Amino acid sequence: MYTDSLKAITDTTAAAHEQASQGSGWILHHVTDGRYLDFTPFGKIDLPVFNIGGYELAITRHTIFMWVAAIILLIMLIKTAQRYKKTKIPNRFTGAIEVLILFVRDEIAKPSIGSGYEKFVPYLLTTFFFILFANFLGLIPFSATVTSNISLTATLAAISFVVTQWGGMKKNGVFGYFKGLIPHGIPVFLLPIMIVVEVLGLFTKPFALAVRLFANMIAGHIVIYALIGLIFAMGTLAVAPVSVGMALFINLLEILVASLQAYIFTMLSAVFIGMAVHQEH
Amino acid sequence: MIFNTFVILAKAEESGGGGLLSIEGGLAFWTVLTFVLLLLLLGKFAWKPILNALDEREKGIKDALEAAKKANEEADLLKAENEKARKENDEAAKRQIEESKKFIEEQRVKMAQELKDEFEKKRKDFEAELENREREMIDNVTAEVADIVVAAAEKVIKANLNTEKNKELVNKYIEDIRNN
Repeated sequence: MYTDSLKAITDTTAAAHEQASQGSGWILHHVTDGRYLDFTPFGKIDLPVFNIGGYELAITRHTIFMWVAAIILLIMLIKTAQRYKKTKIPNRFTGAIEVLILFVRDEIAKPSIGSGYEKFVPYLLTTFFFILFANFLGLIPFSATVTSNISLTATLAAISFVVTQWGGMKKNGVFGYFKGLIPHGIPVFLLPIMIVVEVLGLFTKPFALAVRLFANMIAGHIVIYALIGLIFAMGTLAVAPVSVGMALFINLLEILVASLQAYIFTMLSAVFIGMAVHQEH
Repeated sequence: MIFNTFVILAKAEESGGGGLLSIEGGLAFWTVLTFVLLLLLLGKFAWKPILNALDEREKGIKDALEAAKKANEEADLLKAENEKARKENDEAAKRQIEESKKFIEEQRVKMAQELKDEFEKKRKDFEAELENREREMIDNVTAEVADIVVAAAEKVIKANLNTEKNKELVNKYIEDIRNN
């Protein structure tokens, strides 16, 4: 499954790279991170770079838009919470938020984790809403899709990994958790292989999470840019209706993908947590 | 395949501007910081109150449904009881009416009988009275007639006949007449 994704990324990157070397580097320029906010044709803002203890902590445009998503999330959800403190009757706004919260709690956390799911609900909710808002923010012109940056998706996957291991160890004990990773009734001579396989399995799960989200979010954007780039590549306006029409179609598809990927990331995180917490299954 | 990816990644790095697949420590750091802060802030100020409110509301709805069910059951029970009481009342009323009818009938029969009896008695009394009067009248008349006859007889047969003896004789005759 990942090899497919990887192949797609490799091919896309290769194509983009070739284009870049032919003077069409603008696609990569749009989808990759940078130390500026690009509002061309209205201007470009350079962002500062911090050096803390020799480490370069650049504030890039993906950092900025990640913060924008986080701030929107905070405002919306705290507003919802304030209304719920006053009255338990939802209005149109809190009703819409409530549907998503209930979806994560009842359709993702409860069936995937099972008993003891309550303490993971805040993590899953935060992950779901953060990815959802970041994905949708990426659809707005002049913004950036932070979830199409592997640094961010890998970090989110790493956090999911940490939460999974913590949940498993807390429930089963550190020793019990690692013992539970190996299936029962395995012949002794297979143990070395199984240990390697299971430990590798621990790390391939978050790797899959990171690559899946990243690849899905970047692919749509690259396709949109490529379709628009067709106009310039062919040097004629005649192809514009086709390009724009197809780009619009991909954009609509991106709305689906943006929702779906937030769901899949949260769902798989919940499934992995469930596997770590209830090892007997 | 993975090797290919890394080759591309390396190429992208060489061309500057950061590769598509390179992990930037800076962004990773900011992501961790942002996510953890978001988790803490939302956990405290959003998820906890919202989830509590939703749980409370769910509980409220559940309780209300249960209460409504219970109230319904009670109402059904009450209805059944009312129905039973109504039936009993109906029956009692019917019985009452029957009894009343019977009583009235009895009363009517009794009163008719009494009236009849009284009438009969009165009639008998009257008849008896009538008979008495008749007898009295006859007696009177007889007495008077006797007196008249005696007086007449006295006048007629004055001399040799004792008054007392004649009277007795006459009375005897009269008695004979009456008995006949």
